[in-house]
Amino acid sequence: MTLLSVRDLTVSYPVRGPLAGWWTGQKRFVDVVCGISLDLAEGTTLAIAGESGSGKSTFARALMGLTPFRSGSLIFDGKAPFPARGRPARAYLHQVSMMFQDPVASLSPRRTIGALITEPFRIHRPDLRNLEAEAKRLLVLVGLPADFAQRYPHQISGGQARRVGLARAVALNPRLVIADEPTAGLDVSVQGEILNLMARLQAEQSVAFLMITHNLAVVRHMSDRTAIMYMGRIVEEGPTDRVFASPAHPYAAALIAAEPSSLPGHHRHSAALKGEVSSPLHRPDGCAFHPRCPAARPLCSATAPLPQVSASGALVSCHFPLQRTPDQ
Amino acid sequence: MGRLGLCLVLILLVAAVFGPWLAPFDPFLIDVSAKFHPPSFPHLLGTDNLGRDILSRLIAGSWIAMGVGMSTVLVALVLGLILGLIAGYGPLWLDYLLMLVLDAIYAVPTVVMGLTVVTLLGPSLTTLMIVVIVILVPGYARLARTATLSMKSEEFIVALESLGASRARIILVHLLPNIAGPILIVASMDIPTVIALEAGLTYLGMGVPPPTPSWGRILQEGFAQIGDAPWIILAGGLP
Repeated sequence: MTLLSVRDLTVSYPVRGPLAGWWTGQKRFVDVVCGISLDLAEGTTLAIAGESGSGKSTFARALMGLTPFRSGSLIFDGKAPFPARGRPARAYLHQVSMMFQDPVASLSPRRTIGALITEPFRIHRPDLRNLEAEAKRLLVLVGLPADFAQRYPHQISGGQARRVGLARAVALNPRLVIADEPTAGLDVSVQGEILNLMARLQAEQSVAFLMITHNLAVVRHMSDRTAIMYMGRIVEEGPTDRVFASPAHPYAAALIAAEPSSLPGHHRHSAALKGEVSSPLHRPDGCAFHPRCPAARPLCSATAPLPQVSASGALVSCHFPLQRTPDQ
Repeated sequence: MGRLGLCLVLILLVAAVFGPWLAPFDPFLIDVSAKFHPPSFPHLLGTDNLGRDILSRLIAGSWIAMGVGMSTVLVALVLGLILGLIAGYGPLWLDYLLMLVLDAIYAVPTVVMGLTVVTLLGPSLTTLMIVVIVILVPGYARLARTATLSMKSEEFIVALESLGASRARIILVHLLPNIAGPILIVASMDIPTVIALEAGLTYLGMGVPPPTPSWGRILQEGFAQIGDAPWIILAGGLP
């Protein structure tokens, strides 16, 4: 069953200050996220991958109502939680939570861990009295000793702070957790622990994860479906194994091919992308990827491609999707 | 240096709290026969034009100085913190409005502000305290606002917003403890400034009305007799 359904979500930032364009009456906008549509089924994981600046984090913030979106719609569990203006409905924030990129910075520095992980209860469940027991339960749930409740954020390590962030995110038994780079800044063994913990929580509580990352190994390991973003658009979205086995969009193919191989001596054939990501201020006409695309043809610079089903069953936004994997 | 400072502060505090028991004479006691006594025993710092013991008046004045100093700074601190937090974290139009008003107050010179308020409300201890609070609040509000602005885009505030925390909760529970530290230090250093300000305004006749013993009033009264009884103004300038 579809839990979250996003249609044509666009996030734009106005160019320069609030007075820009007051004389001409026109405001210029930069589309950081432009027209994202995706569906997330209950209890599954969708990973959004893409390079820095592709709009992944902005999209995540927009889903939490932290950044207003200019157009588009969002349906969660059959309801539209966003009013025309302002912050989303409280019931929505009760069921959706977010893990932030920087685990230590996302914890209020003068509050104890115990107070921090029970913060969601203080906001959404003021009727609950025994917060200490809840804190203990959550700490045990994420594999931290119960006496951590008395510590302060600066007294714990990055991996422990990540666990605290996860505990806070799942405190209210949410149905969707948006995880922004859940493994950023952690060493590989701690990354593994966090991911296993997330997988276990998903199995136990059937929580859906929307994971933002640029670590393709994490994507492959964790997610049921994968969406590849480029300049604020999803260029390819489909079941993870199929997207990785035979990426149809040239950008997705290049991204996956650029991932280091774990086999010694084995080098994938990879055609490194030329050039830089275009500035969102001067978005290329047609397909935003065409200036860097090895397979670009005149049509690509003229019209933007619409999503179509590729040979592997993924949705791909490309006029000339690849038919073969780059390995072959 | 630190110990010397501590000793001085302790002397003042003891004088303020235990003044009624320490003072050798009643600070209001008028003894015309003993007027203009130079410093000697039993009037250690001499007497003024009405024969009141200056040491006793100084000790009694320390209560006013301390009381006015601490209570006004405390009230101004609370007001300034609240206004600064609201300006820094609240809606933009409110920020503009508050800063406009506070900067306007800030722009008026202290003495002019004092004159205006005293003219409107009449000289009294309450008026004096209102003047001092009005003068102090904009500074604290600015400090609090700047600290709030630099903190409001920190990830932990964004994380709280994502949890659905109300603005009041974010301001009181999470922003306040993080910005209060530096402002508390500034406020504690303002207490002596306020005491000097109180003495200054009283000296100009805008503060505590007679016969209340205040340091500024002793100076003012002493100034009139500077030629005949210089010890009055010297003693008044002692604290």
